[in-house]
Amino acid sequence: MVSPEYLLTLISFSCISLMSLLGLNIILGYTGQPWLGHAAFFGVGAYTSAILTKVYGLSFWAAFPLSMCMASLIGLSVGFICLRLKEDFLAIATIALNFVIQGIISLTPQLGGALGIGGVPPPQILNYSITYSHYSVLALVICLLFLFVHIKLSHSWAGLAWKAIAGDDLVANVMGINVVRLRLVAVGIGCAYAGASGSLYVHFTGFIHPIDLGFDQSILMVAALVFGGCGTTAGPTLGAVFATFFPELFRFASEYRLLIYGILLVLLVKYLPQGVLGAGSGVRAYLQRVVKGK
Amino acid sequence: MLQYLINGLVLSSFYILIAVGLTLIYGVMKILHIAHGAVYAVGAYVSLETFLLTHDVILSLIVGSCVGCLASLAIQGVVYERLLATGASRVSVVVASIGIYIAMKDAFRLLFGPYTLSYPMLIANLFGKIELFTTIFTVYQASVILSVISVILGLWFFLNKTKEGLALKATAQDAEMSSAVGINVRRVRVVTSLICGLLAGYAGSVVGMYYNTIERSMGDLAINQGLAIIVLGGMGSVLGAVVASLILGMAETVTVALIPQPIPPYLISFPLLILILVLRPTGLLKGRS
Repeated sequence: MVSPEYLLTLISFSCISLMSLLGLNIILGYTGQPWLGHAAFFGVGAYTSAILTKVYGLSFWAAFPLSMCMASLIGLSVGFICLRLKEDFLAIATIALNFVIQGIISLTPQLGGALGIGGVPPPQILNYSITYSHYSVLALVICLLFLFVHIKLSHSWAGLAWKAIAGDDLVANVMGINVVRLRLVAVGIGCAYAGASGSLYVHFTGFIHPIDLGFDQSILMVAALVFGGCGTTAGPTLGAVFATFFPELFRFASEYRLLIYGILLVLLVKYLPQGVLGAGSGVRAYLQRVVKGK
Repeated sequence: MLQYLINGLVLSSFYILIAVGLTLIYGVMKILHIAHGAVYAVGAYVSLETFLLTHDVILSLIVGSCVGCLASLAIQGVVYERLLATGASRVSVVVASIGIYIAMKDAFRLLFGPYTLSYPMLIANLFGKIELFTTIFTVYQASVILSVISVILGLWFFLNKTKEGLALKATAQDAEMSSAVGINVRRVRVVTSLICGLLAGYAGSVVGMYYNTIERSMGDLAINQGLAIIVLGGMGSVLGAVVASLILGMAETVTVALIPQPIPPYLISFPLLILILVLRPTGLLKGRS
């Protein structure tokens, strides 16, 4: 059986993963941009936070917003380059950027090179270090805050405009929506979410390695989001929890885990293209009917 | 100097074999065919196993290409055909393709073991060497380059002079209109994945023999470079893919010669790609087929 402490660790990881997914949901789910390099921005946040606290001695509370800003800035500059690109060009450009950012980090000795950075201090409140099981409380609080902002955003004018752009960017443009600017805003906010998630991650594990921001991680994020369902709030939440608990669910078949993962991805797209709780999926419609019926 | 040219040409030939298939699939089906990397690895593994059984290089190349072709047809028939019919979004099709890639990569581990495999002898040196203007290159290198040139010529003939090829080009331009004028689009898709599978299987076999290392993640590099090439060349353009492969193969050979520190090949192709995308968002050569 899973011990309670381990369960709390998994909850922390779910929250961290949810924050990245919420960011990805803004870019991919709401605005409909094929963004396949999200792990790079998670990594930028994590590395920024690690360097700021370990080398420059800042506290977590200062490093956390700064790492969000850093990820957002790099995301915006990437978006600035890429936004002229059409669908699949953007997909490949973001894959390329993911590899380039990972490559630069693993070749820079000041950033720990291929060995990564270890010994990142945990956050502190009044000289008390938040570690292990208590960290899940911190992660949950921050995560709920970000979830709240995400829901508010999706009902805001910008959120509606994003959905319009995802539906048809030409029509959105005709209706007076500044498509390029709103896409950039989506990328900036989405990457800030990823940076926040990276910062939370590195202060929890105390360690970050270039492999944590590889393309495989980006794919895991996209897969979790597509599984849960794009363009809703419930979708990423389900996706994050499932992606975190997935290795546990398939512990009995640990030898074949990747094989199962790959086959599940194909089956998922084939039979549940909208995701379990995505906009327009059957499960979501059923749940809504049940809730309204009562 | 000439030595670099030969090495660059061989590398470019490998890239051409991979990228042409990717760009054709993209042109006809509008799918980023990530699983292409796994088809390539299938070619490498199968030709190695065939060689271990028969000790015949030509036969193992043929078997490797054919099994690659079968793998490609299976992926197209079982997965892509269904996805195109349901009208799944672009991103989810990419996710499915990556899913196939991950599953096949893990299947290689289960079938052939987790270790890097190699041939019992260096196949690349088996057929002797040619000396030309103080440059030494192997017959194997020369035959790789020649075979790729004939592939390009054959493909050009197929695309421009045969009915099937013209149907393929028409489908790449507009699938709906093509089916309206009586082209069997489904058949075109099968033909496309057949050609792409053959090329990828052949590429895998040839590369496995050339570098004498066959591992399950060998498709990673192929697909990275392939994606960079098809964007550089303008998505869906065969000529563009060939030109971009030549540029990238040469750039990589020169960079490796100039920089003493070893850097991964994708750190040459991807920055180049981003640079080109900034300057020319539609790729080097715009157009199709």
